[in-house]
Amino acid sequence: ATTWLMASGYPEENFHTKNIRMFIDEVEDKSGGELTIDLQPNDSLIKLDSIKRAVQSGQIPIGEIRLGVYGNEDPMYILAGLPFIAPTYEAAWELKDAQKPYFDKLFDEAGMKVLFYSPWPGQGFYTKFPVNGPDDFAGVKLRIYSTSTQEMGELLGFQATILPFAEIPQAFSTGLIEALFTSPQTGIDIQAWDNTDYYTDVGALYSKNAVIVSKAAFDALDEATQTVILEAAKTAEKRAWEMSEATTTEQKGILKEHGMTVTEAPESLVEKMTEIGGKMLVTWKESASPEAVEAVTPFFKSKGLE
Amino acid sequence: MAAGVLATILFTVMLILLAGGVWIAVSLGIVGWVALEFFTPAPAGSLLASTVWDSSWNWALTALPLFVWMGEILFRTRLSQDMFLGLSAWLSWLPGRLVHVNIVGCGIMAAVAGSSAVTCATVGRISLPELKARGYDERMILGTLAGSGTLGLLIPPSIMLIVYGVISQQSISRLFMAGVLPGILIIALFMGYVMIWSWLRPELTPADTEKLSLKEKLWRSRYLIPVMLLIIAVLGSIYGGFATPTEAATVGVIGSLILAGFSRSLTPKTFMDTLLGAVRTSCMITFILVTAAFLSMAMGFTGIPRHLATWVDSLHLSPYALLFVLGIFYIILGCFLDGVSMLVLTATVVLPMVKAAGIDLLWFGIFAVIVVEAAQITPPVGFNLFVLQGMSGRDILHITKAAMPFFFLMMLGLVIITLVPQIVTILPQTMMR
Amino acid sequence: MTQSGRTGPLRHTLDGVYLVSGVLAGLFLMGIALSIIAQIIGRFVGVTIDGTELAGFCMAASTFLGLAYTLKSGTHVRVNLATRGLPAGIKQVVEVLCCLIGLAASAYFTYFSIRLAMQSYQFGDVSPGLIAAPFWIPQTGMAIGGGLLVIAFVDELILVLKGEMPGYQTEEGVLAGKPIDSTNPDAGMPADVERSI
Ligand code: NA
Ligand code: NA
Repeated sequence: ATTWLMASGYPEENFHTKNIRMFIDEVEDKSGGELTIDLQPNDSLIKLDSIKRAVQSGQIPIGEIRLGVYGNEDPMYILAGLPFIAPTYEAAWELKDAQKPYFDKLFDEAGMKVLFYSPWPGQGFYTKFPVNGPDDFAGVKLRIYSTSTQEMGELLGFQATILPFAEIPQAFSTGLIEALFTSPQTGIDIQAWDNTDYYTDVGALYSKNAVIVSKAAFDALDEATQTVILEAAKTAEKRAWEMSEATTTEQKGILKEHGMTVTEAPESLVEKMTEIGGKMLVTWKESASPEAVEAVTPFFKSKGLE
Repeated sequence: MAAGVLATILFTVMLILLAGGVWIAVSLGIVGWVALEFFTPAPAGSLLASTVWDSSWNWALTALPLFVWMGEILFRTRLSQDMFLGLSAWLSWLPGRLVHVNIVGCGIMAAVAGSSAVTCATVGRISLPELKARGYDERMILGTLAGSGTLGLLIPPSIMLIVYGVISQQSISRLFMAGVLPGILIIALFMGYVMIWSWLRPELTPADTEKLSLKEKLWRSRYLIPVMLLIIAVLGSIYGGFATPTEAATVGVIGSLILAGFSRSLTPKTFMDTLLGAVRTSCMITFILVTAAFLSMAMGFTGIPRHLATWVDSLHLSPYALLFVLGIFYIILGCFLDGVSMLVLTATVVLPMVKAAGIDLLWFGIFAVIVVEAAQITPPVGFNLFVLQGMSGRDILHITKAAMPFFFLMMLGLVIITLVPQIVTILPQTMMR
Repeated sequence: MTQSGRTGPLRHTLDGVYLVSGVLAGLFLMGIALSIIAQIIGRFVGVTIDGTELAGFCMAASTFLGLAYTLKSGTHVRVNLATRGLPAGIKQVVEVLCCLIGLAASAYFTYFSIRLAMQSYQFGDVSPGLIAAPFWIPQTGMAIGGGLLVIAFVDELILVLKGEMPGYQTEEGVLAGKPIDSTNPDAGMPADVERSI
C-alpha cells in the first residue's frame, strides 16, 4: 500500500477542498486501501504558488494548483481568465476540453500529469455603490491580482491597484481600494460585506484549478490503482463543475444574508466587457505560441470568436 | 505515541545544538533537516532550498528591514535622544517613568507594523541605548521590550490575525477590531506591573533630579515635535489611504532621512553606517525566520502538531477545560514553532474542535493570538528573545528571565478575556452591522 | 572587522569581500525602499506599478548577501551561556565543532540552492507578477550568499584552530561589554557602541 502526501492551498470549507476530499475517499475506497492520500490543505504543507514546482521536483507526489498563476510561463494558462471568452459553465467545460491536449503535453514534458480541472465560480464586482453601467466605474480604485485583470480594469475605466490578498481588509477600511473583482467565494473568504454593499455578478470568466500528480509517482502504482485514480478523477471533474455552480448560487445567498444587494450585471456592462474581452483576445493571440492558438482555434470558431 | 517520541528526539537535538553554541538559525535548520531526512520520505535538501527561498522573498517581510533601517537612522541622529528628553519632562510623576516609553512606544509601533519582531526591533533599537544610558534597570528594559514587542501581533494591522481570519473564515476587519481592546488591556497590565514594581523597588529607577515648571515642561516638549511628525506621517499614510502597512515602512524611512537631514546629522558616512547596521540586524532576524519556516514545514511533513492536536481532541473536554488544555498545548508548541505555523499546522483539527465546543471563533482568534504572542518570549525558539539578544548582547536566558513576568501577565490577560469575553467582542459588535 | 592584529593580502582580500557583500546587501535594502516608492508614486499618478515582487527579490538578495558579513560582525545570535565558562581547551574544541557544523550546514544549503536555481532554469519557472522574472536569477543571489557564508565559516574555522579571535565572537551589544556612563542622564551613547547592534 502507498501513501501520498498532498498539498493544497484553500481552507477545508472551500468547495475545491471538499471535492478533493471526496476524490480521495473514492480512490481509497475503490483501490481497496492500496493508495491513501493524506491531504494537507490551506497552505499548511507547501504554499499554493509553490505546489507546481514541488510536484515537478518530486517533493510531493500530488497537489492542487491554480492555473492562472502561471500565465507568465505560457499564455494558455490565462486564456480562461479573459472576460467573455467562455462566460458560462457549459462554455467553460468546452474550453477546458479544447485546452486539455495542449495542457497534457505541457505537463507531460514537465514530468507531470493533470488528473482533473475544477472551475472557480464566475466573478463579479464588489462595490459600495449600485452599478448601472460601465460609466459608474470611472476613477474608482479597483483591487486587481493579475495582468489580465489589470488590463480589464483599466479598459473599464477603473484605477487599478495591485494588492496582495492579505492587505485587502486594511486597504478597504482606509480607502486605498474601493472595489474588488472576484468570485463570491473570495468575497466570503474576506467577508466583503464588511466593506462593500453591492455584488454585481458578471460571470464572465471561469478560471480553473487543477489537481496534478507527478508522473513518476503515478507510474509507480499498479495498473488497477492507476485506473481507479483516473476514474475517480473523471467523476471529480464533473462534480467540480456541479459543485462550483451550486456553490455560486449558495454563496450569492450568503452575500444576501449578510445584507449585500446581489444583482446581475446590466446589459451595457456585459456589452462593454464582451468588447473588452475581444480586444484582450487579440492581444492574447499575439502573445501565445502558434501551437497554443492552433489548439484552441476550433473552440474560438464554434463560439464565433474568430 | 510515535509523535511524542519523535518530538522528544527533535527537542533533544535542538537543545544540544543550542546549548553547544551553534547559531540559532543554523540549529533550527538542522533540526528541520533531521526531521525530514530520518523520519519522512521527503527530499530534505530540495525542500530546504525551496522553503528558504519561498519565505525569503515574501512581500509582508519587506517591512522588517525598512523599519529596522528607520530605527538605525533615528538612533544615529539626535532624534531618539531628543525624544527621551522631551518625554522625561512628562513621565516624571509616573512610577517607573521612562520604562513606560517601551510599552507605549511598542503600542504605537504595533499600530503600524504587523509583526512582533519588527515592533520589538524598531522600538528596541531606539530605546535600549537611551534607557540604559539613563541608568534604568536593565532587566526591566529588556522585559518590557520583549513583552510589549509582541503587541505587534494583536494590535491591527496583524499578520497573525490575517492568517487566522483566512483559515477560520472569520472577517479580518472584525478580527482587527476585536484585537484593539485586548491590546489596550495588555498595555494596561504591563504598565500597572511596572508601576507596582517601581513602587516596591524604588532604588531600581534612577533618581529624578529635575523639577520643571509647567512652562519648562512645555518648552521641553519641542523635542518631541520631530518624532511626533514622523509618527503622524507613518500612521497618516496608512489611515489616509495612501499606503498599505507594508508600504508605510518606506514612509518611515523617508521621514527619518528628512528629519536627519534637517538636524544636519546625515553625512555619507553616517548614511552608510545606518544602512550596514540595518543589514546586520535584519539579516540576523530574517535568517532565523527562514530557517524557522523550514523547521515548521518539516513539522508539517512529520505530522507531529496534527497528531498532538488529535490527541487533545480525543480527550473530549468541556469548553473551559478545552481552552485550558489548548492554551497549554499552544504554549508548548510555541516553544519551538513560530506563531503562524502553529496555527496553520493545527487548524484542521483545532478549529472544528473549538467550534464544536460552542466557542466563538472570532473570540478564539484573539485568544490564540495572545497565546502566540506569549510564544514569542518563550525559549528556546522565541523571536523577540533573539531580536533582543542581537541588540543587547545579553544571553538568551538572561533575556528570558527578564521577560518571564510579562509572559505571566499575558496569561493573566487570557484569563481576563475568558472571564469577560465582551472585551473582545464588543467593538466588532457595535462598530459593524 | 577586527579578527587579529595580523594583516596579510589574504586577510585583506577576505575582509574586503565581506564588506563589499555587506554594502551590496545594503544597496538591495535600499532597492526595497525604491520599489515601494515607485509603487506609491505610481498610485498617485494613476499608473499601476507592481513593486511587490521586485521588493521581495531585493529583500531576498539583501538577506543572503548579508549572511557572511553579519556572521563576521558577530551579529548572528547564538546561545553561549553553557560554553562561556568552559576551560580554554574544551572551549576551543566546542568552537571548532560549532564552526564545522556551521560550515557543513552552509555548504549543504549552498549545494541545494545551486540545484534549486538550476532546476528553476530547466523548468522555466517565471515569477507570477508583472515583472515576470525568471526565478533562477534571484535564486542565484541566494546561492552566492550561501557560498560567501561557506567561505566565512572556513575563515572562522581556521582562525579558531589557530587560536585567534574569530569574527563571530566580536559579538557585543548595547548592554554587554561596553561601559556606558550612567552618571549623566543625557549623555547618550558613547561613539564606539556604534557597531553594536
Ligand atoms: Na500590529
Ligand atoms: Na517560543
